[in-house]
Amino acid sequence: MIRARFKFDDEQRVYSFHLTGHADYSEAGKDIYCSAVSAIAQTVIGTLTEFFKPGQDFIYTLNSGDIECQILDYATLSKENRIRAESLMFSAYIGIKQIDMIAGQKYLSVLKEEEHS
Amino acid sequence: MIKVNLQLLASKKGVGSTKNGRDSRSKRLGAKLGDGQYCLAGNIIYRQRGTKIHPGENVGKGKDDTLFATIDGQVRYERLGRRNTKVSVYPVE
Repeated sequence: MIRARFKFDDEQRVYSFHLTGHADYSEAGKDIYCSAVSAIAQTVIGTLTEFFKPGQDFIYTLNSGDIECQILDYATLSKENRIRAESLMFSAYIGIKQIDMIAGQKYLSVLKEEEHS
Repeated sequence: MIKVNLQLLASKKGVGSTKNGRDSRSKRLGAKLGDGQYCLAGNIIYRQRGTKIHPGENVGKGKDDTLFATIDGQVRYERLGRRNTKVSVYPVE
């Protein structure tokens, strides 16, 4: 099962997501849930690398069974970039939630964690 | 743009039947990149609670103590004093 964990800050912005495990729906190359989740996550990370500086604005991991992305600090971004980052990170949450609705709990679980300061 | 792999969250092909159906949890803390591995700026190198490993050259530390590369290069774990360890990233010539 893929476990997707999204962390929200106190302004209801997604500041990190972490995807671990394997869908186990089918073998590699035929696993549609793996492909769908992988595509969403890597689209967001790829788009972040176009607009932001990796290692300065955000950090990420792309390993087998382990995909992670974190905005380091929304406060250091310009207003325009903050909106971009918020939208991208939230679209990852919505995209994976949508897959969760059709995949069922056997292959994917999505966890929302809220941080209160 | 990054090189996309659509099978990052799929099981490996051809595992034996006795292993099928298992779902071992991925390790969340610890080294994401080992000594000598190449990394890109922004790659997470080490996930930790507290500062077990210290940030060295070209390595940043996030608010949750995560260590990450600030430049493209090669990861090196080095000693820091007698007891501590640091991780640095050196550019590849």
